[in-house]
Amino acid sequence: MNRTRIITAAALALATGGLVFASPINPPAGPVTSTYKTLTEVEPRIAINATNTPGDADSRFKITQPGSYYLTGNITGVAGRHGIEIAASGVTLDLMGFDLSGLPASLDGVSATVSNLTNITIRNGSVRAWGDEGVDLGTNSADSSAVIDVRASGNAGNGITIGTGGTITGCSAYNNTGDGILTGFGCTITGCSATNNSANGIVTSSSCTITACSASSNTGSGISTGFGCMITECTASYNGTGITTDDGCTITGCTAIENTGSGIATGFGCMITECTASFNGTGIATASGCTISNCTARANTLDGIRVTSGCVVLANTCLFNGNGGDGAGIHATGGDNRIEGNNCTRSDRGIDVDVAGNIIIKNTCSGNTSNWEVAIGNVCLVILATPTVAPISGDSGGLSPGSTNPNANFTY
Amino acid sequence: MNRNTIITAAALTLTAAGLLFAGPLTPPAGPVTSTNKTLQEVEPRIAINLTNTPGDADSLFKITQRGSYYLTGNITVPASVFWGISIEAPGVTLDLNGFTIDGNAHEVGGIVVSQSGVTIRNGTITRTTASGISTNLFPIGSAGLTIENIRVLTVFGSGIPSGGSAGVGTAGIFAGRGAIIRNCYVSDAALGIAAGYNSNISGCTVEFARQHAFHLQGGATISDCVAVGTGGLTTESTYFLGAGSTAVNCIARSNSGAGFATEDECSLQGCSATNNSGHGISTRDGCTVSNCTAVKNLGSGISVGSGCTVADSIARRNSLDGIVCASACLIRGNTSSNNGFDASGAGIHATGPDNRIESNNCTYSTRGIDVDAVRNMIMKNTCSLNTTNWDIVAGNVCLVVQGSTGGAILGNTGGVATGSTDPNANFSY
Repeated sequence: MNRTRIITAAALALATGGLVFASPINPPAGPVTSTYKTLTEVEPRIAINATNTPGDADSRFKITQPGSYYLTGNITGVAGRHGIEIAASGVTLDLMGFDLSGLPASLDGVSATVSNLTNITIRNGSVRAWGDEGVDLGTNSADSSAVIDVRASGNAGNGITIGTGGTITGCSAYNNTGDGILTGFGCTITGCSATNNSANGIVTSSSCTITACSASSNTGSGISTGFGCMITECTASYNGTGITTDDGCTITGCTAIENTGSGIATGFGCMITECTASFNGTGIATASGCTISNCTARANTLDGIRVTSGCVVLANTCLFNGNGGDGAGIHATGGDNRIEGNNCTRSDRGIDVDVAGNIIIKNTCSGNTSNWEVAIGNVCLVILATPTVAPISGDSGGLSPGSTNPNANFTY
Repeated sequence: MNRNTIITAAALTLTAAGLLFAGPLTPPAGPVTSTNKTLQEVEPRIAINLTNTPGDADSLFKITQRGSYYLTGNITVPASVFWGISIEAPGVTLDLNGFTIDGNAHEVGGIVVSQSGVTIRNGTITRTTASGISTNLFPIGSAGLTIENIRVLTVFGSGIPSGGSAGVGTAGIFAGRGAIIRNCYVSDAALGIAAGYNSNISGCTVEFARQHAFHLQGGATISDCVAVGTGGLTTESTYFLGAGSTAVNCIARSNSGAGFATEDECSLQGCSATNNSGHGISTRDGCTVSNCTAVKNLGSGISVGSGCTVADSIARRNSLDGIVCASACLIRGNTSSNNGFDASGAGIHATGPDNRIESNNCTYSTRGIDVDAVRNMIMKNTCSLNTTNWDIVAGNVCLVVQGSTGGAILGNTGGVATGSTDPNANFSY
């Protein structure tokens, strides 16, 4: 093999190797495009700034189109203007953890200014010291909206307001001149705290649900609702009144202590279960047609439980009421109540019924200044129970309490 | 085809391709502006670093202006400072971005907060000696702190000194009043999570705290939390609830002290205390305990002060009493069995007067119902197979009847009367 043939063979071998291992020479079909994401694709939301969301005479920034918006920095208030004005439905505004701080003469921090907007979400930031509301989705009824993880403090109006069907989750509202949280009809409030507001802590319209919230040191009520609301696992302490509701509400597993007025005060037809009310003015006070069961009312200045008429008061524990004042364990001021299976001790009066037409059964009283004060015309048998004269040890012994009437009440 | 023809055809082809794929030639109206986002718009938050958030002698990084901050990497806190990050402005949100603040076992803490309205989220703090996250004035200061999705692992410092206030010691998380703490995890700290008045804690787990797993000032709400293995150094309670607090659906398991301990006027619903070395649930006065379970605790299952309600709960196989109350309580509808296990205890034990003990079922304990003082009302209860079913001093209202038994019942009728028509009679069976 001469030199030329060797070179030719080597060249063929290289060419063959190139054909086997090389990438395709033909480019992909279609126009040349980037395979990278654009920054707009990385952050498709719309930044709040003077270009995208220019303000107007009464706002620093204004959102006029549906979409998802976010802050790129803190916002400082200007006199006579909202921080961010929202004038469209279907807006999500992520505060991105930034701070909206107002001035005394400014307007709202975030405000929905057009009537009847829907589906607005505000989340993740703080709204402080605005001249009116912190977040205002309520004045113009921005319905089906949400406020999530927002801290609202030191605002001259309310901390957070929302319209019908709204959701407020994980928010705190404190040191506001108005209410801490104020909602419309059919809202859900979960895991929020409202502290030291000059009006009320949490205020809702009707048909709302409030769960696992705390309200403390508010001048008015800690929690105040319209009719048909459900309040569960909440605490209200050191307020003017602890929890106040309109008619038809359910209050379960709540605690109300050290409120100046009533711990829990309801309208007609409410259900109060497994609650604790202590060191308030009155522990639990209801209008007609309510059920109060499995609650503890202790050391309230006035009555432990006070009902008007048509109520069921069942299996509650009341003691030390009239603490520093004058009160009964259970006090019925009207007729048609059923008072059953309660244990009332160590108060000025154990069970106190002012008028005729009630049924009082299976209750027990002990150690009150006056165990029973029941007006004429009620269904009530009170027996001074017979104490045992010998210990009981084993499987039998003792004495009948003194009556085989299954509905007898006993003093012991 | 000559050479000129070939060149002309090629030029026409290129021109046609350009017309097909090129954009409009007419520029848009107005001044020339960018249509792209800037990097500042894509990540507007402020990175934690020595330029943006320089520290001082006390902290590696210091946040002194309101705004939204984030970590860009793990941080190791040097021994020359006290804190990894100090937050000294209100209205701050700090996203740990999934990163870790490592104390490297130095005499340092993770994050200290001295202002209100701060949120910290999404990361891990580990191997500190001071608290993982702390407010400087527990329990009053730094209101409205929100902490979520934080893991604190291994805090070496000691907790509350005996007789001291909660603000003295170190914790995984130390938050002030009105705090919201959710979905956090703390392991191996002196105190797990401590929060000031009216705080809200949910969905958190604390393992192997050396003192309290949860220490909450008054008016707090805690729900869906778990505490396991608390108390390597002390025998204090796993959950400590200040006055007027509520605990719902919480679990205390295998802790050295009590499962739950509360001040006055607290409410516990649906909570479970098992295998704790102290009482399962221990409350002071005016509390409500309902639908709870206390099993295999080395103290009593449920121990309450005066004026409490204990209803619809289960106490089983505790070393001392199943349920023990002081005075003026209502103990109703509970199931208590196998108490005094390996020791001596009653199903229900009343130590004072003015209690109403009603409709409970007590079985397999040293004593079924045990009443030490006069002037209690014991009605409609049932006891069976306790060493002594009833142990009640004179001076109480109580009728105990041995229930009558009959033959088998098959069909629609049969049996004998229970032995008393007194509606308030208690029965042994």
